[in-house]
Amino acid sequence: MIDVMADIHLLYTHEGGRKSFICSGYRPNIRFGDNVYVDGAITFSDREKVFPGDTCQVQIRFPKPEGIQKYLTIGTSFDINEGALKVGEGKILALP
Amino acid sequence: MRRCAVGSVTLSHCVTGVGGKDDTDASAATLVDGIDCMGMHGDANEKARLYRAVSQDELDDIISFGGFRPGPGHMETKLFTTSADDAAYVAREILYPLDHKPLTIVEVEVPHAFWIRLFRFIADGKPVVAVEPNQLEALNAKGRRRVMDSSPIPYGSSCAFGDTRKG
Repeated sequence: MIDVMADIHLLYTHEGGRKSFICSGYRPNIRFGDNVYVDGAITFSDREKVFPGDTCQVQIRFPKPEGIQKYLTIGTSFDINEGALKVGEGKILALP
Repeated sequence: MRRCAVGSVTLSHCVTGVGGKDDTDASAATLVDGIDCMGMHGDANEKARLYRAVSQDELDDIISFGGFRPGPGHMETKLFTTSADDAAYVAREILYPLDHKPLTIVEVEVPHAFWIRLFRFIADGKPVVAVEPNQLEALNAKGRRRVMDSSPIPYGSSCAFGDTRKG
């Protein structure tokens, strides 16, 4: 298990993003590179909800980071997906 | 022998229970969306089985609502594994470590015609099937749900009672 700090941006609904907000604990598919998907639990402490179109700083916990070690570097970009649907994107800001 | 093509790699004995079928015609296997398994090429009467590890809150909602729906602030797309083994793996190795809440595996039997429209991919090394928000109504209407009263011990996992399948 590993935690990283990241900036994320949720796409607007009209851009193909979610229809509703996310809460702390939201657990989408984080997509690195071309097609490397892992589960990541997103938590944030400065607000209760993050809405489509919002940008904020979050913590992402990866329960099984073994397959993504090479992507875990500061500045790496990733997509936030729900299956095939891209609902947001982000960039790693800090590592433990 | 059951075989399953995952990307360009062919694995034997993987995703046991996919589709709940016993097709053995290897030549029939094709790749759809990167993953496809034998037994998923049948006629309209054939069924596939999906599995999802759910929290008690979600289980209560499934029972009261009569199906799957997005919870406030959670995924709008519902993810399923293609075997009970993989659902147990996800529950024990990915979900439980995050919040230490108990999980239950729900099995859904869906028509082959519905299955082939679903997006399939690999997440955390396991085959996953995504049911998008606009497909949930059909899943609930066409799928037959069953709450599993036991769950397999994922191969290679450690637990308090030991994994008797190791070695």
